[in-house]
Amino acid sequence: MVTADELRNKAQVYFDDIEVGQDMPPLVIGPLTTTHLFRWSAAIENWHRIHYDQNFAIYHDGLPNVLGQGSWKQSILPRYLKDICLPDGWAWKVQFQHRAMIVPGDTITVWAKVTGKRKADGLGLIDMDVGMRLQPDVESCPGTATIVLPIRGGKAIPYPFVAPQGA
Amino acid sequence: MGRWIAIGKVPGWDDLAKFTDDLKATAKWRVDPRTTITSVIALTDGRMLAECHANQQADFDAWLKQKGWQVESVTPVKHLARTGEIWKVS
Amino acid sequence: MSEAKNPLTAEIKKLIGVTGEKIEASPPWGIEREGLRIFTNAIMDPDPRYWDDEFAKKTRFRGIVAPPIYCSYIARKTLAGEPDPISRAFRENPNSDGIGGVREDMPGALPPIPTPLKRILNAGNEIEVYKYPTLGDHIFSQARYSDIQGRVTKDGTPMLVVTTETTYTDQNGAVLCILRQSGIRR
Repeated sequence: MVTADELRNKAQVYFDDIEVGQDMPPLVIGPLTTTHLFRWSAAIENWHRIHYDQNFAIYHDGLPNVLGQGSWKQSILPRYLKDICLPDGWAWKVQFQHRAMIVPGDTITVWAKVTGKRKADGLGLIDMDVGMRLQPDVESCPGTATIVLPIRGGKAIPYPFVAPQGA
Repeated sequence: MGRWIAIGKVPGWDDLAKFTDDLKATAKWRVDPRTTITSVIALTDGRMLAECHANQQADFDAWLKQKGWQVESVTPVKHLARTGEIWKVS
Repeated sequence: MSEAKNPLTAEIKKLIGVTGEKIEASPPWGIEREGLRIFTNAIMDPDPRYWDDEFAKKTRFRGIVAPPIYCSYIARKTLAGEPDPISRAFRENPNSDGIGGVREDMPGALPPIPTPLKRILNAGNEIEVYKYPTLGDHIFSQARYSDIQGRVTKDGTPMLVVTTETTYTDQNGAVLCILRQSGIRR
């Protein structure tokens, strides 16, 4: 897991330095436990029993165990992309589907692979395939994303972000 | 989706270390997206009880065979009580 | 035969573009530190932009900000003094799933889809982020049916794919993020 100081001191990745086909550094989370799931349910006040009540999950819903929350996954991918872009890039958009369920005991590897580079309005856009892979190589959250990285010598990425024309 | 209990013996599973190796990791008990070995209990007389939910008994039978079970019986579950909660299964 | 079974009726088609009431999603006191602390711990993100005032002031954000889609979670919170939703859920159904189902009378809710297809599966999410909320911000949300498609699978199962788009804005009307969720109804 990444530390506060690593995020504080993170060096900027530039559009110029990215190559199509490149794998971005992954983020590894886990092994997840029931306690992690319980903490998330409490944090967002989601009382759905399938996330913390094992008997209910197994015998009422026919699930393999309590389940990792889709709402948690939904925050992890933007968080991962945000980290890649720090300090001055922008994690603009991501879309994904929910596939394999996450259960306690799973270790999650959040990953991104560059599929394209393009410029729009003087900004550097990087398109990527993304996902959250479980052991043993089971995909939980396949998707795509577009992040915006500064171009060396180019203009600053605006904040609040404004979608470039034709992007 | 059905639920079954198997009773039988498995060589080595009365040893906790082997039992752990064979059952702890997710892939060991989540056979596939529809087949889950939800519990295995080792009795002091050497017998094992395993509970499985799956689309069909054949999926459980395949796992039992793969793990080297000497199967005494495989029986569908009707209903159960767990710490005061009652669940109707079939 | 397949066309006759397509569940996308004229009545359902009319719902495309229907927009719900814009509501305040944040609690009356806005975005605050304790909620951020609990949330960022739960996603295990130690980013000092969320808690270190001195550091955050030197960033492009000029102060503490919330994580990218934090605003989409805060509407769930039960405010003090409100009837207990957990007790209500179990009073209505002793075998409740804990959340008591979607309340269609909630402020900002979209009209229900008039279909007998009741089983809902999450087909996917899209997220666009433009600005992070800051301390003290008030968050507003507005939902819209951005698309509804109907089809029949190869085995003859009718299904609807309903995409709900929710736009989150701050007290100045600035767009923070847009979330789209697609649900399969079958």
